[in-house]
Amino acid sequence: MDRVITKLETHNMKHKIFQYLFAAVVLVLPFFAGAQSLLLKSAKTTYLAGDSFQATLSINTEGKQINTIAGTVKLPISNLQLLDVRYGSSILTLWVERPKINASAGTISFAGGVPGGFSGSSGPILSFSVLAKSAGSAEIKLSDFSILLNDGLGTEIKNIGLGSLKLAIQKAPTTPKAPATKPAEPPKPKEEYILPPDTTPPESFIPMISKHPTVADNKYFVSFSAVDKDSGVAYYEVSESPWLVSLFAKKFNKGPERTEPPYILKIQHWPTEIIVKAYDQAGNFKESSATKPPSAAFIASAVMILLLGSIGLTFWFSTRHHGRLRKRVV
Amino acid sequence: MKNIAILLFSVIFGSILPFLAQADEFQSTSFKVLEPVLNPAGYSTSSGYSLWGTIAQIAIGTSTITSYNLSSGFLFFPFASSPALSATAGDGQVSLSWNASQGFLGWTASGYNVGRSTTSGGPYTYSASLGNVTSSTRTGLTNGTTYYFIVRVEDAFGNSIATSSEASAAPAAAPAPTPTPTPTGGGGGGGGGGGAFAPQIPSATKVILKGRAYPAADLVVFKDGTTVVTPEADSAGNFEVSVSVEGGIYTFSVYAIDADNRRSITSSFTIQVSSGQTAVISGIVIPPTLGADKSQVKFGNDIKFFGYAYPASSINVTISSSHIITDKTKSDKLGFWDYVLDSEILERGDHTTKSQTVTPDNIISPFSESLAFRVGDQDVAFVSRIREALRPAPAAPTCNKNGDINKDGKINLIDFSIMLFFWNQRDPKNPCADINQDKIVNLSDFSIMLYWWTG
Repeated sequence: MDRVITKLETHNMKHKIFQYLFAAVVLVLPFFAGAQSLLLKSAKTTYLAGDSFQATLSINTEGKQINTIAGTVKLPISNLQLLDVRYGSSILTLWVERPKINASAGTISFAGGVPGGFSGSSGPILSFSVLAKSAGSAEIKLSDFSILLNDGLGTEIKNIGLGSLKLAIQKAPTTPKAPATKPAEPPKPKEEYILPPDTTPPESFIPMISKHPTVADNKYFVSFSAVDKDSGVAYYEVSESPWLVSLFAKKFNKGPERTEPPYILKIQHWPTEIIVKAYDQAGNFKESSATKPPSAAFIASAVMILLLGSIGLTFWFSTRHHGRLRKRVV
Repeated sequence: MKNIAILLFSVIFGSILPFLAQADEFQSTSFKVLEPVLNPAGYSTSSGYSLWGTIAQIAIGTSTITSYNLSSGFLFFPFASSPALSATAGDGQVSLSWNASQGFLGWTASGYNVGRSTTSGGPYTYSASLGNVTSSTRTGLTNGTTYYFIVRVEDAFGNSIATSSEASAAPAAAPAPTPTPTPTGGGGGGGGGGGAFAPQIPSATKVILKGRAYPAADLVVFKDGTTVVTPEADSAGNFEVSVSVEGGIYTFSVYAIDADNRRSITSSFTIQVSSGQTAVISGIVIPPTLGADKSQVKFGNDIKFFGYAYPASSINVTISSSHIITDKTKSDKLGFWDYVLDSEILERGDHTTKSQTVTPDNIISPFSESLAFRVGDQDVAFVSRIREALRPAPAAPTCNKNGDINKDGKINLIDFSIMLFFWNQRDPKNPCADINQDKIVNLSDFSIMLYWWTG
């Protein structure tokens, strides 16, 4: 006999489903509470079209020690526009990929790490400023994030809590046409986020010169990494000045060339002074130098020239001296 | 009514389950504890007696009087590392930050609170629980008074499971803006005159690191990945270094090299310092170094673990296999410690061990590196991975598994550069750039390099 499901039973079933769902949430939630989480924050969640504001991305490692973070922040380009990204105050200090804005896609991508690891409840990663272009709801999302434990194994953390930032962009009020009898109310001032000025150059750093059989056919290269505590390092410039030669002719100098590490040196044999300039996003720079030793081929050539020169001189001197003696004897 | 019961059951079961899930099972040659339940309790003390935990079959802890010792629980020691604490003085306030405590064997750091005193050593007045955070700004303080702080680690029930060492700071008023010098006295226009203003010398911005390592250990301190100072610990194993900075967020890391040239793992601290301020990071306890006399021990034979730690400390030794075994030993006055394990209590196969220091004043270090060993059919002598890494290796076809790509005994910017050169390459020309040998140079390799970074 078919059973007729009454309205009351349907109600009870719904109620039970709700209870089981609630039970499932209660059971599952505590496990997610321990997951590492990335947080997006801004001072407010409601802005007017035309406002600009700052948002920050930070991490709560939930007691774990991590050392590498990579991922993408994604904004809806329909009503938000990325203006600037700053990463000088980041817990990440070595960048495989410095935070980079792709304005047309509305993304900031980055990959960086911290030697020795980081553990904390609110580690800043980067901040960015945004222009609210038009009214509507907007959600800034995080995608493709990888967080790796500082465990010596490169273990990637699963179940990362990826926060998002939901914003309401309201239409900016237009100045009403005031009746002749009433004075017009001044329009509400536009909220504008002004980037703090960065007048401090990056911190001191030491370029390191080396070579390795597997890197560019064993050519000398220079490694460098600078840190800027305000806007963050934007790029590097490297120039090469050959010893002695550069005193007489600058045309043998190489660079400055905008580059990233490792920079393969253009002058491989002659001893050179390498100057590396680290520029921050505000254009301040810190200069640092290192000396490339002469190559083995250069030393061998120099020794050979000296040897040949001294043989020649000895021969010339002895010939001349011998001639004089012979004249005296005669 | 039934519905309410289901809801109540859900809430209670949902809240309890995480704690049940944390329990481990233990066994030794003569007993087995299956599915244990931890039941922490508060402290109680009197003049000649102290109790940590409930004395019951399911409790953990030790109670002691002069002639009597009782170890209750599973004969295992749950513990949590002590946070290293930094204090930075401000105007009427002190900013505190600390690194997260690592719990073990059922203890999990679930919150922190701050104790404050105007006397070194306390008694401290504690804040309410701050939640699971690693920084706090204590406000409403009197400028010119030195305050002493400690941070207490709490478990999920609010019990104190570890304490930091003390950090101090004296709040001071923010320096007034430099006044524009105006001529004083001197009349008549000009010349030279008074100069009553002494030029204001800006205070140096610096970070002081205080901690404990091993007697006469060589230390390497790096700031944001670059070596800044290489001090030596004193004969008692203590160290204190000062590093000038410009202001901002910095990550300081420190590791020690013991008398046998064994390297500790790196301990790191992230701190924000404003221009003109001095931040003090105190209570750093460098984890022990760890070596073994065998990489494989014949079943039934002894295997010895050893290393250096802070002198006269208790050393927690943990063996991880299908179950976890913990035991304790002591470091001598030179900081040397060893522990002999009878392999008969382990099954044949792979196991790992790690250790941590508990200083005489109960400050607990994080764990050392994890050392793998095997119980098998014959004894095989051990060759230390870190020692091998620190020793410049001859050109060999094998790669270091720690990111020392150019095999110069250091893991630094040059290795990072070489890694970047081969970044995202499959089967790179330099196979050592693919540190974990998974056929691609990617974030995992980068992470391993950062773990072993020497600056």
